[in-house]
Amino acid sequence: MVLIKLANLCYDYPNTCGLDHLDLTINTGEFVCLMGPNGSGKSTLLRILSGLATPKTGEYWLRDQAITANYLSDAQRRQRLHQTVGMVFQNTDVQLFNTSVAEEIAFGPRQLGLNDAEIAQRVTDCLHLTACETLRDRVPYQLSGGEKKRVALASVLALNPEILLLDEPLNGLTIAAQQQMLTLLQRLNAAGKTIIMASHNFQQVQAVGQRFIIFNSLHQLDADMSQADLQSQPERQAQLMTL
Amino acid sequence: MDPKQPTELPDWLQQPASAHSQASKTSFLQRNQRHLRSLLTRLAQPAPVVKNQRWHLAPQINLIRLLLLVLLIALINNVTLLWCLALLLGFQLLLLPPSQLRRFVRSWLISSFVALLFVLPSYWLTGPGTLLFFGLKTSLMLANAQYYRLTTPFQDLLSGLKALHCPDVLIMTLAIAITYLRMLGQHLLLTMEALELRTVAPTKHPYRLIGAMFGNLYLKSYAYALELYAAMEARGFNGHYVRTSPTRNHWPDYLSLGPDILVLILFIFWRN
Repeated sequence: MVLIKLANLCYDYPNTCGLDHLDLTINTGEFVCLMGPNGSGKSTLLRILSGLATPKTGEYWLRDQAITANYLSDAQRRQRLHQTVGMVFQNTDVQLFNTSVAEEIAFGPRQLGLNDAEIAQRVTDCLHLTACETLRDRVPYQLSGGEKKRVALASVLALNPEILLLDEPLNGLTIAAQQQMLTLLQRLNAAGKTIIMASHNFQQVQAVGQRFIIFNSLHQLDADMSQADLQSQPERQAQLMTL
Repeated sequence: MDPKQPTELPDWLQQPASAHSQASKTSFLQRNQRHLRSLLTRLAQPAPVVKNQRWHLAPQINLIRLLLLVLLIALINNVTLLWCLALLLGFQLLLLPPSQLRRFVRSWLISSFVALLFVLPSYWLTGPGTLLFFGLKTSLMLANAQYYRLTTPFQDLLSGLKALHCPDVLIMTLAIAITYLRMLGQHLLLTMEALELRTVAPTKHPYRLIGAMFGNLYLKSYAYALELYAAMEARGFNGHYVRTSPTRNHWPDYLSLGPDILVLILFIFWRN
């Protein structure tokens, strides 16, 4: 079932192009890896999907709803989109703004109008899933880079979004923590979540991604292939290894 | 993360999220979030500066021209001379590309409107004639300043100041302040975006949230300042701010000052 459809999408920054005529369809429950060199448009695409940026031209459909600037100008519709689409930023420093890790995770569920017991349960579950139990009462500002990444993921998971956008989520994590996070993402995907993850490290994501969308340095779609297709193309794999 | 830690998903995470019913009341922060974001975007990503390719002057000459023009406009009370200065600016504007010209007109009108509010009390003190005259003079000064801002990169301003023998401390403070103001603007912008992404309903304590955001920003700016000083010391900073050697003046630079100096001479002799 088609979840996201992008047609002829273009996005421009003041001095440079962000995305150039992108056509893409993502189905419900897919685990998609966005690959490409730095500045190729991966983060820009995630910003558009999350509703933080609106394309210059082209269309963005989420199920049967066109996400346009006009649609996003309404606060309630924007909030509905944010309930469906959760995003972990590349720089998680800016994503944490509460006074403790537990407060940070409870921020979303509290707005959803859940009762105190449900909020506490979600906080405990999310801390456990991301192995942040020991960080519960710490100030997010004082955490290390890897810890901030895990807390940011926990705070997004607490909202139970249907689509999870992750911008370089494995950067700054130890090898063991990377593996743990990938396992968690696979389980979330198995539970029905659609995961779209930007990465430039093919080695890390080759085992988990079901579909690989590759951008070139001209901000265009270079290739769109399944894991099986990619396995049969050693040249392409070698190219992705050198990103 | 501990790789041995189990990651069984809780039930609530395996079920589709139920749509939350939205309350109609929104906070002041939410109502103005988009406006604040666009303001921060402009602060963090200023409009690109387009240098005049046909008439490129040394940075120090550009700066002297601006200071001279502002001084002249402030001192001159002769309408004809002011008209000459306006014509001079008009000629320079003709050389700007259309996009830059549009940006100039917009920012000039906005700044003139704000300035008019300050000049307005003169209407009650001396009448409409004085208000019009001072309003036009202020507007002309602002137009020159906007033209300079839109055609001169920040690096050229610093080079110009250095060439005019401004104290190193002043130049360095200005350079760091502008750079870090943009960085902090970018930080605040991204924090607001992150906040918006997790805002799925009206916030119950918006002012507590604003306080936490600005508290974080203060801590971040403090940490930036310490890191910057450590980095500068590590690279041998000794209190002197050394920039690239100032560009030398050529004959077009001196020639460009001609019309302004002519107006200055006219101003001196016309007065007598």
